[in-house]
Amino acid sequence: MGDCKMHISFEQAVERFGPTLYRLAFSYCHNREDAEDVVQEVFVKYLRAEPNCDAEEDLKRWLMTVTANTCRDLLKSAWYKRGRPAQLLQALPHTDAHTDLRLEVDRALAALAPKYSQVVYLYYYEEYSVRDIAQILRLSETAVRSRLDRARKQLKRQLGGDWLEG
Amino acid sequence: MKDEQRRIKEYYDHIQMTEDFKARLLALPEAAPQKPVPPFRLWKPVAVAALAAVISLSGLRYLAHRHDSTVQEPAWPGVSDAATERTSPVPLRPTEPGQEPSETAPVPTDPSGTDTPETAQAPQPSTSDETRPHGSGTAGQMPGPGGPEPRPTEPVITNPPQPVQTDPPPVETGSLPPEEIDPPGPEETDPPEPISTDPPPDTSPIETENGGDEPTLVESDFEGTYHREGDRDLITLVQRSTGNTVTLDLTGMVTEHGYSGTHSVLGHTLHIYLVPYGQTYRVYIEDE
Repeated sequence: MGDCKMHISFEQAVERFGPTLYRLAFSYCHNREDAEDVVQEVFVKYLRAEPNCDAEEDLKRWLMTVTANTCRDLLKSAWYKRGRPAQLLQALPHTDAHTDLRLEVDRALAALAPKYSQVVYLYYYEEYSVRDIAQILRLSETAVRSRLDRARKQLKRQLGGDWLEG
Repeated sequence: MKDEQRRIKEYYDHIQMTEDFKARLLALPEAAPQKPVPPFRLWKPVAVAALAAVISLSGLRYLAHRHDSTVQEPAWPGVSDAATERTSPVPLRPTEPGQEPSETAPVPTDPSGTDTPETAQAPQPSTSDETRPHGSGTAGQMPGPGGPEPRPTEPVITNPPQPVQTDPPPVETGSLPPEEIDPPGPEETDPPEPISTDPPPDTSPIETENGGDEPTLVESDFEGTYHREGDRDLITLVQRSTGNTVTLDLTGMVTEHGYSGTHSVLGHTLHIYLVPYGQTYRVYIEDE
């Protein structure tokens, strides 16, 4: 890892950070194929960049930032913009038993715009703070809060109830 | 934890990488070499070289364009491009087979020469002094009033005049007998260039065909016609104001590249130019 102070092999990085990066990419792309492409590209960049990290958490955040940037690049591509609507219904994760409500939640989350779903994932699943999310996504904290608020409102509109209040 | 947040966690918990994809990721170090040379570092010298080549090519094109535009500029003011083109690639008399017309065809090279009346109206019959037996200057370099001007010849109605007494060295006149000047070769049957069949330029006020020889471009009160009688090169000059006719015998002085000389005709000092035109010559006259 060059002058990286944290010694971690590539296999260990894949094992530890691969699922997180994959979910983060999935929250952006809403389909498996694109998420896999993004994660693969992120690890290729990781191999080439050899980031200088002091701790595992630093490496994880670096990888997540690269993942978010790669997802943004993907979303900017014309082919993705054209093909994305058709992919939405196929983007539901494969689960064992979906209840109606669960399927409805899945659909609502899958229907979120990428910039909202990514924030939701980082906030509610990874349990990062608004400040950490702002650092990872290279956004202002105000933007992160705004996106969180809009995501909550959208989910509430679709699912009803007191979804993700405050 | 709220129920909704648990549902979100459940949603993302089910998003897992497949084993195949994980295997692909683990195989990346073999597929993607570490620390490759950044692409720009690879392409930088190529890009710089290509940019330099483009710049130099553009510069050369610009210079070539300037040169071409300079050459093709009309040799005298008020003359259209067609007239310039007509006088530039004048076909030569085929005394030297294999010689390309473009090599010896008169090409006006100095657009600034349009300021002077000599170069402005005088076509340049030749660019080579070696093949010109008469005349003190090269094509377009008409002898000025203060220059080594040849002595004007007296007008002789029917006899051949002695047009040039000062300029021609004896070797030159002797080296080009009339037989060498106009040998009728098979190339003479070739039609002239289509561009030569165009009507004369705007500067030619009168174009006549005397005896069907060729059209005559005159710039003065005189109009001239070149014609051959046997081995003799004759120019018939007609003063339009009076109708007087004078014939000049230029035998031995007309080369394959034409002729230029000064003659005194009926009290006028005429600068006469013969420019090859197909199998014959065009006559250009300037009245001094």
